[in-house]
Amino acid sequence: MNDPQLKTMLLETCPVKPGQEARAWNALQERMQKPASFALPWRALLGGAVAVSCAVALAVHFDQPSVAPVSASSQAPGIFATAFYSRGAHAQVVWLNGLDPATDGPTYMDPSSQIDESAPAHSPNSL
Amino acid sequence: MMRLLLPLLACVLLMGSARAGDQIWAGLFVGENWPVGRQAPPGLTERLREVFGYRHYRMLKGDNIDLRDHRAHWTVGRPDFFMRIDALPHGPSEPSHIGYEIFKDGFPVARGRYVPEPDTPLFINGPDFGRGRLIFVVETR
Repeated sequence: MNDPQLKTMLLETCPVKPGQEARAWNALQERMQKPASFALPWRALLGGAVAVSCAVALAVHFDQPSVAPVSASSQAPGIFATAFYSRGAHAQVVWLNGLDPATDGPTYMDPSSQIDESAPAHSPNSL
Repeated sequence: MMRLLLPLLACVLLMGSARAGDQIWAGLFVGENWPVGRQAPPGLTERLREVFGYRHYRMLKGDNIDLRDHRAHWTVGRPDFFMRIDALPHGPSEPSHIGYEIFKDGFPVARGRYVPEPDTPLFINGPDFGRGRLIFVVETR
């Protein structure tokens, strides 16, 4: 089947109504002259705004400053050392757990707690 | 003219050699809920409050430390709780970093490394003391 035969068959089966071509051409012209509009539904716009806001909030919340992390390791049994960055305080923190409370009592560095080796052996304080 | 410029250039070079982080300050505070003694500056108090929760922070001891001398520094706020700070070797283009060691009752309890950076202090949570807590603070000066 060549082109003329095909054209004839189409005209017989689907005849073009009078004025149909003109109406189609006019409609196309009107459509081409309209500015492009992105008529998204308002719900889609609202959803997009909420999603962007959430993404920005999460990015701010989890934003880590470019500071070198502090390290901490325990050197004694029963002591636990944890290092972290405090976003609220903008500070590096080392948290030591398991330390005995500090007191104002005598310590090993106080002279009163040191043994006086120069004292005579017959001292009444000696064992 | 050169006689005037050379000393000026030398001064500029010497000032430039003291990089940020070479000068630090280390001190021991007591976090408490009532104001007693010499208090921490307001900005530092706000930051300490954010981490430790106490209302007031009394300074027991504070020392300026120059890391360029590469020797050990001791911050002895109390005889039973003190800290040793060492300037660790680093390249000329690298920032200063320190090694610290915490001592309780004369024994080392923790150690680590820290890179002093402006506006990012180091807080070290110490033992309870009375109704408060001992806290070490290290920051750049």
